[in-house]
Amino acid sequence: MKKRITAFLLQIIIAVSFVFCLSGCSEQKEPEKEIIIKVPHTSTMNCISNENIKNVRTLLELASEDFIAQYDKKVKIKVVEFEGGEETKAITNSFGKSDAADILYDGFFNMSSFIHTGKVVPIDDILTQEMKEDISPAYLEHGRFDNKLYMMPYMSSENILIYNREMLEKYGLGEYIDEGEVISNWSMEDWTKILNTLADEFAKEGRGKVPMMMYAKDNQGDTHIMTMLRAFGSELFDSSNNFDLADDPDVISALRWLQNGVDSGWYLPVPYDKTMSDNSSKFKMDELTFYNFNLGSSTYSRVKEDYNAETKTFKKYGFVNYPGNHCTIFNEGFEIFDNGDNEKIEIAKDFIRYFYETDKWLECSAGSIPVSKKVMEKYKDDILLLEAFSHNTVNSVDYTHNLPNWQGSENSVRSVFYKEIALLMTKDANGNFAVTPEQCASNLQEKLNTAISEGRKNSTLHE
Amino acid sequence: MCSILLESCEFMKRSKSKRFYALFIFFIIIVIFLAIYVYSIVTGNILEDAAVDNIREVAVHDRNTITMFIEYNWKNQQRIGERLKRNSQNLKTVSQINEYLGLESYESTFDKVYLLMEDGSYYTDITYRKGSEDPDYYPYMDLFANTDSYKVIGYDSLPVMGSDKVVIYGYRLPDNPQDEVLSGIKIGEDQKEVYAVIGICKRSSIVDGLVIENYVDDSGNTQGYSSVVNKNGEYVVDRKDAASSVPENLFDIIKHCDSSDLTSSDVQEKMLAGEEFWFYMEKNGVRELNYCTPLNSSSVNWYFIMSVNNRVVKDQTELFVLLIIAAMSAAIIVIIIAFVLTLIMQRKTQLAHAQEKAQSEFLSNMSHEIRTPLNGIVGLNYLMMNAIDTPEKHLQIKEWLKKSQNTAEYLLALINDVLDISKLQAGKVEVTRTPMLVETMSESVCSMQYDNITGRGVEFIKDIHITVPCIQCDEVHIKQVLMNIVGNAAKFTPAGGSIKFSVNQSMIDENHVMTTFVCEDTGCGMSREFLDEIFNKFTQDRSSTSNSTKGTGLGMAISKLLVNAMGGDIIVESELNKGSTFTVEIPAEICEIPDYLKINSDDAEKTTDKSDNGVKSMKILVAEDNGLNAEILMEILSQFGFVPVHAQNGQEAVEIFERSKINEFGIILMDMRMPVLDGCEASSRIRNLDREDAKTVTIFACTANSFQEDRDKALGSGMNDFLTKPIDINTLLSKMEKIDREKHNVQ
Repeated sequence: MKKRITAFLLQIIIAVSFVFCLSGCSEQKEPEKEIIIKVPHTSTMNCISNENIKNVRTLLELASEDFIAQYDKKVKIKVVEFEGGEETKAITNSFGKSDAADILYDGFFNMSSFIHTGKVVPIDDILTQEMKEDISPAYLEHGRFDNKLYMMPYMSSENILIYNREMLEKYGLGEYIDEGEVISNWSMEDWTKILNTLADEFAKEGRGKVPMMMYAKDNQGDTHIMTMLRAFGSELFDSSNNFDLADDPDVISALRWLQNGVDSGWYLPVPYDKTMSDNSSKFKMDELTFYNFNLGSSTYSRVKEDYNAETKTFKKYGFVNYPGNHCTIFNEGFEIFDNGDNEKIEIAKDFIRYFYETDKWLECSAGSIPVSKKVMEKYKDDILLLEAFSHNTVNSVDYTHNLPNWQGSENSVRSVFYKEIALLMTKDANGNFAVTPEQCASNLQEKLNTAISEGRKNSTLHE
Repeated sequence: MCSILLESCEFMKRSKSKRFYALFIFFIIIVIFLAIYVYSIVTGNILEDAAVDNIREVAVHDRNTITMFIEYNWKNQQRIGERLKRNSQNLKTVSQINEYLGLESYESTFDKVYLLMEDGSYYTDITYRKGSEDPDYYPYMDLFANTDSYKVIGYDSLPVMGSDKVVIYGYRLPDNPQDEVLSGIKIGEDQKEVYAVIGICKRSSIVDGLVIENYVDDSGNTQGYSSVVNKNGEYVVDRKDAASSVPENLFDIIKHCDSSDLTSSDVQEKMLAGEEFWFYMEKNGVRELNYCTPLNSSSVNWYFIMSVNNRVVKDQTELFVLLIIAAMSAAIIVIIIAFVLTLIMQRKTQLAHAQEKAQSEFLSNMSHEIRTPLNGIVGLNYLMMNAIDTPEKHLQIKEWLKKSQNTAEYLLALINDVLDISKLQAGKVEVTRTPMLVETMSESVCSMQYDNITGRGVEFIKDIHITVPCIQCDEVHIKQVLMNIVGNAAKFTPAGGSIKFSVNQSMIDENHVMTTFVCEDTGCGMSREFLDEIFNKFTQDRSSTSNSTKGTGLGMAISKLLVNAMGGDIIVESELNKGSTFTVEIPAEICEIPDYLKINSDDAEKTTDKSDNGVKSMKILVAEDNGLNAEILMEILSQFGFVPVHAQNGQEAVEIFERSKINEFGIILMDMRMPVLDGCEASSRIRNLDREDAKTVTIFACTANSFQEDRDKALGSGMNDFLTKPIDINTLLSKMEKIDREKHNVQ
């Protein structure tokens, strides 16, 4: 009897299953893990070992394919490019969503803010002894916070200024030009003379040319414009890593110098509404004299074309540190995010480990300044200006100090800074500047330190 | 429906077609669930239509929003044109125009405001571009190739906007039907006429508005997005593929998609006709509903497309459909379970009634069957008591005693059979599987029945063909079955008839053999009716000529149960007055002949000769708590020349044995159930005594129970063998000889 009842109930179960299958209930399979790598659209690169790789996205897509082919687990890797400067939208706003980044490739100053969200995983365990010996400790130190490695350096860019030497030569400023692979250093008097001379001559031309880059429409100004606040000798930070600007005469001198540039015609019209792209376009159109430059920038290919290998001279371009003789070091590399799936974290670590242990991917960093000593050694003679940049690192300044809340919120350091600089450049209906240099220094100190203070208060580090 | 099912079941019950019954139920269930399935499909379609209507409403709303947004930007460009007309006198140099446009860019909704001149050159907020030979020149004039007054296009890479994707708005100033006063505005040193105001926005400004908030899931991921395409299928704005560097063409996408309800030509045709339509398209494993509606602006020939993941539509319909299915399924399952439970209860009640009836009949039969011989014994005892003092009645008394003995033996057999069948029905009989010599067992049955058959004047023929000498089976029970069948044949075959007992074997596989025992007689045979009941309890054919025979009526029932328990079967063929044929089939595993069976067969002849060699003077310790049984047993033993010593319980038996001399007792007969100390415990203690004969003295268990577990328990406690009460002295002697033989073999 029991057997018959069992058989009867079994028939019911089969019938129910049959009907449910008909109605579309399909078998659920465990989905393979998908790792999302995000990279800003602006991450261009000059990979001399593989000319097909023009940007980091392509590099990571090719490396992903190779990684998947040799990996023992079945995984998918999706490389997603986001608009440059949209890190908050692409990273922070995606936390907890299906499109959250598992790996981010970006500049350290963009990535450092995410460390304080508690989402970035320490990656000291990725480092093998060989990697530790190969990567300069200074680069690794840039990726550390609280003695843990959160950002894995891949290549380094050193930001200086490139200038159109033809313009200087045309208006009698040839004496300031250094020949060959040299990064010049000029005094502030020299700078003032050069910029004023060029501005005056350009005005006479009436073709809309200007000598100096300036932009304050968005948050891209912290790297370069902030560095120019050091032009008269200020260190910007006190011993507690807070901004010390309001009472620093060197800062006020620098702000006044920058503000005077508006009246002197150094910058594009309405500089507070200009972006880096505006300045970049203007430079490429040979209508701007000084613009930002590093070995990864899109101008580098023009520089290489301009170089005469026989005479070891440049025809059109020259190179100079920012006013005050500073340059900024700009590391790029990887960060891993914890999205609540330990298996994905391990896969992400395996990918980065694979990336650094595979020569052909590590060597793509040659084109900018590679963090790998062996790559540097192999390609040092093949990369134009590499040696000059290498020697120039003594002039570098650490402009972020890995401070929290550098970017990512409305009141972050980057967001506050550009608005105050925009105000410094703005004139009212009567032709008067909206703020004095002193007011600007005071406002900057208060707002930037508030941003840092909030960042420190809200900082959460991943265990 | 339930009543129909019940009626149907009743019908099926009557027809005794159980398989049909199960299939019918299964069919009913399938029909019910198919009905649910069809219902869910129909409901799903209705709900899907409702979901599409909902999407249409959202699409039309968003389309109107986008149209308003675009028209708002054109309005802004118109105002820029108006301001330009007022300020054109002050705009002479490039720097002045750059600064002017910089301020316009800052003040307006556009990121950049350019001025397109009549010769195709243009002013921006940072420069002035003249002609196509300039690498940084962009042909904005192409926007108005069709002499449109308004234009909007999406563009992926514009040098002045860096890496940002942009939307470019064009507003033609001369001859614009919206505002003819904007014609003739001239600026610059060469006083060229301004042809159009170009406004550039980052695509994100419009893209953000294309996220459909209605279809954002719990994780914040959008399941729907909007796009704007022109009638050539080119994406003006594609929300989904905003990150891709190359804009795709809608018609190309349809051509290369996994599947689509409409072809690219169909879609193009509908767009050219300005229709509002929708279609499903699957690409990269994602199925989307695409709702297409033309922008309701006379100046723009664009289509607004809302693409919604099919999961959204399914989510909306599936939940409802699943709820319907779940509710109906639950209701039907409850009905079915209730129905099944009712059937089970009904069945149980019927079973209980049948069992009660069977029990009642069984008790009635038992009462009759036991009372009958008991009455006989009581009556005979009464007669003998009255006649004991009358010498001339002594011969009569001897006859009565013989009848009393026979009746008592019948009563004992009856009780044994009843106990056996109770055990069998309770499933408590364990079939043992030990090596058995088929021929030896068959010969044993024949020899035991030979005198019984031939003594009745019946010819006995045996025909034994053994191919597999030794098999694993329960020899005791097989022998019991065969003895019963052959014994019945003897009883029911009149003098002059014959009984043939044959044994054959056939291989089942290489390890198993089917042994078939056939007992064929020329006896009275059985009626058709009796044949149907032959394996039921207390069944005897009273219609036959066997009135003189005596039996309990349980033999065949026991035999059938035993053979079935061994995995075999009994088949009976019979014809009244012609004879019967009983076929017993026993499947069994083939085994090698073990050594002890070889020795037994070899030594069989030798051991029988020394059966009474000195044993009759043996001293026997009888442990029996029942005084009458002890007295009878001791008397019988004395009559056979043994020297019995009585112990009233197990403890006393142990003590007597302890006090005895070494080897003083040849045998200990141990009752199993005794007060103070039972037989098993007493045997165990005796075996553990520290004396020379403790391990060697023969101990027989004596009990009325003949079940396997009693045997196992007795042997486990150290007893040598088992004797069933009442003790048969010949069996005792036989077992003594066997043990004696085994001891010799071991030595």
